[in-house]
Amino acid sequence: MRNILFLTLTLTLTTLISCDEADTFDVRQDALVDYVTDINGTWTLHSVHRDGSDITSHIPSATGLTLQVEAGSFTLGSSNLPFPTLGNARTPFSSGSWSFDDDYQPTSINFTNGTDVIVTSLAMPLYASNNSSMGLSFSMGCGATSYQYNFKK
Amino acid sequence: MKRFKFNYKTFIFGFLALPLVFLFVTSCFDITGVTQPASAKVGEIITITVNVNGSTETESNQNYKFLRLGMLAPKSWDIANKATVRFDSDIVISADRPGSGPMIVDSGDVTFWGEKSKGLDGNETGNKVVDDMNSILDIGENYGESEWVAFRSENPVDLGSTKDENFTFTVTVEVGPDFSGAQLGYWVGSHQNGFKQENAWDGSTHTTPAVSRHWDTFFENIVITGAGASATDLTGPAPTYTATVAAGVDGYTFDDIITIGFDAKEGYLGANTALYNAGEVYMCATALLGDGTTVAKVDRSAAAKMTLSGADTWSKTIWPPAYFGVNNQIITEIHLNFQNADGSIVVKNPGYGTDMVFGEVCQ
Repeated sequence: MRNILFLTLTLTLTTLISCDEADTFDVRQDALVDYVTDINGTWTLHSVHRDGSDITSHIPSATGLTLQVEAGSFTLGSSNLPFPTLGNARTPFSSGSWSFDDDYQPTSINFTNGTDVIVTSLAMPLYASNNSSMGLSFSMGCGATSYQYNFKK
Repeated sequence: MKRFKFNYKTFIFGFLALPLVFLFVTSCFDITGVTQPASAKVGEIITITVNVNGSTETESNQNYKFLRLGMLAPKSWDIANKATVRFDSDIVISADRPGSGPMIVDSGDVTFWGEKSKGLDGNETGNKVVDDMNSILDIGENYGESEWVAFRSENPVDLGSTKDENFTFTVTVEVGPDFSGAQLGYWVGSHQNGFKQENAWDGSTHTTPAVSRHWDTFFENIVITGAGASATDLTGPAPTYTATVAAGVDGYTFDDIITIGFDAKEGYLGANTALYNAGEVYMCATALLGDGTTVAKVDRSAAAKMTLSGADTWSKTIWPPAYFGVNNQIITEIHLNFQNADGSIVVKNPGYGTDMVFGEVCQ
């Protein structure tokens, strides 16, 4: 009986000792706020993929393509490469305005000249800020042929 | 039993009337029209009607005749085995002289009187009908890969004593693979005169005179869908293996980034081209625009220099609108030849001597 009493007391003490007060963490107030994704700046084309194959080296001065992005507007530098807003399937435009489909977790960019809206998919997720890489994927002529442009800033 | 009594009046009348009864429409064949689908899908069964007017003029020939129909189609359609043909008219003389019935593939039995072939001079050639058909008749606007197949009526035919008779051939055929467009052709004649060339009957009332008094041809284009990105249009430029244009697996338009390949080993009949072992190769390209104008880049500039991509194979990747400086215009074709640095060697489409022509291919 005495042994049982001792064992019960020991287990109770052990349990009580192990129940420490829960840790507390300080959470920054701004960590709970969604931020609008920022891609403003000048982006320079780094690589071109066609149907998954890197064809950058096959296109002279391919990496010269620049994409200037400001708040709500964009300007495409002159290039020997296609861009979703160029091509003869529509009236081409190399500047205009843009918007994300979702300002906080964007999956595509809408380029527009006020009349036409060209939806271009993002090939990779973007951070809220300090983005240094951005990928765009799109098709131009033959619908099944896809391109991915990887830009760096 | 009633005894037969010879009546010389009946005999004379019958003797004189016999040719009129067995008149056969032989002398003039005019194809007055063809009803053929403007487009069809690979694997689809299509029905084609060839409308023909036959006139005896003033001929009164009582011999039996085999009607003949030739059909021009891509070889890949295999119409000798896959097409069924029949002819119809509203005349019925007797069971062995039908005014309608099935057509069968000419077997090429040159010993059989109904399958002997006669050439342009009207004399027997000793050849199979289908062989003469393919050597005498052209293949329309097709660049090749097409063949004529000869059909004949299963039985000798009499269309009666009607001087001017319309009849039809009905062809049922499966659309074959490999081509996105073709020109189908039809030839109508009879075994009696074969391919005998003679001025068409001046009594013809049809707007398009027959090619010959004894036969006529008709050609009609068809667009074929579902043939795949590698399919070619038989009515377009002849394909070449010397040059290639490619983008994705499903083809390209001229809004795509295209890669042009040149294989200096793929010359005429498998021989090397004149640029074999060349140190430099330049692409000389001309774009044909939607408004019919052209833009040429044939200056052998640095931008036109190709990159060696393998053993005597060269490539160049371009975005055509920028390469040709075309804006707000559709490029419909690109014409290519390849040259050395000073332009003293020019390689064009082997066997044709013309630029290699590429149109958009996108499925």
